[in-house]
Amino acid sequence: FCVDPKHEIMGKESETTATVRTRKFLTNRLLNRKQMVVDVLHPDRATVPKSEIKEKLAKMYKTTGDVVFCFGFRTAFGGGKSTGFALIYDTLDYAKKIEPKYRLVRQGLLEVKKTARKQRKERKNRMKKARGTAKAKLAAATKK
Amino acid sequence: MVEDQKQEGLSLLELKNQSFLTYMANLVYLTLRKLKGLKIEKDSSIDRLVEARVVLERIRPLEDKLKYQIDKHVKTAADGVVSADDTLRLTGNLDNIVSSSDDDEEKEVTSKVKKTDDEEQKIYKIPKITQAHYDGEAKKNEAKEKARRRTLNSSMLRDALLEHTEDPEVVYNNDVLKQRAIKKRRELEVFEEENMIRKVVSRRDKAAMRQMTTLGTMGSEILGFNTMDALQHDYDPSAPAAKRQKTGKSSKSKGKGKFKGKKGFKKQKHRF
Repeated sequence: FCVDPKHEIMGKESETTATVRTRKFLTNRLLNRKQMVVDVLHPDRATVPKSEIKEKLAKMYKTTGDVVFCFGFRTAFGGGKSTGFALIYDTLDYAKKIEPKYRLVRQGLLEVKKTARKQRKERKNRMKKARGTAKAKLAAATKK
Repeated sequence: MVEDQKQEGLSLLELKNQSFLTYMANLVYLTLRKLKGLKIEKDSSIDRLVEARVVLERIRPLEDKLKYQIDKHVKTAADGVVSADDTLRLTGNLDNIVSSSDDDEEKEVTSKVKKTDDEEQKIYKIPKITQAHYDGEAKKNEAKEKARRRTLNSSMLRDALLEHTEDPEVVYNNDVLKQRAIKKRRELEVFEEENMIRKVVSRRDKAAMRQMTTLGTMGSEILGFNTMDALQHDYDPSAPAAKRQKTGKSSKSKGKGKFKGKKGFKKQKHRF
């Protein structure tokens, strides 16, 4: 594979433009995705949010935005340039199977229900008082 | 060309003979040409010579590996008879090779304390055949040498010796520590991009990386002070560094001359 340096100029919302470039492009057939290193050049501007980068990448690679996952963006010292990674899946099903849960939550594809912290701690303290089968009963009773 | 119809391919020695013959023939041809005063430039025999030479050089390592066998067969062919205690006939007897654990087991039986089979299998006996390399002495010398080199190359000593040497003063532009930091950072970058993962850099490493890029790194190098201990003959790098020598007068005897140490303190108490 030869490196394909695609870049797109953004201009709509921000005052100054930002350029998105991809490097080290690799098609990962085993995980049904394309992975790459993303360079964003944004002089006179704060770090570009991931959602914008996602949209730009989707347009570059002619897919929808929901199969594009970008992460790990670090801005170089002095600003103006950030580097991160991006994965573009073939289909949303593959994405849901392979991506780690926290990234799916970020994208909004998965919802993790968590009871309140205080309630969890109270439940633990109640279980401490019981022993054996009584403990198991209590656990089943208090579990949502 | 002799061709062995029974075997497939060309035997190594046969190849060697033939390439030697071509080499000799072509060499003689070229020599004759030169004697007659003719030019040997761009002659095809030179190519053949080169080819034969290459073949011979490639054969040599293979022949070295077969040397023992070839010598043996040559000797047998020359003598005609194979003697019983011929030195070339001696090979290792595989049956005589006994594992070390068997030896130890025999000793176990003869000894007074008798352990069960289970215990014998559990305990791991180190085989006493090979010698382990001991480099304790070399390490100590190494540490000493290193410490010595470090003090000699420190900027403090270098400046001091600069006035006594006649060599021209060399000014280097590369900062070793900085280069090392740059190299480390680049390595990290390459790793991260290769594996699409952000490595967690500990606070100390992060501080070190940031420090190297600032201009304040030269301070400690220039203004640091090195003791001359490493240059002494009896320097022991593993021993703790000698503390500052205490002067004759100890702190206890300070203050009023009369009441010194424990007794003095007691006497002072009674004064109230």
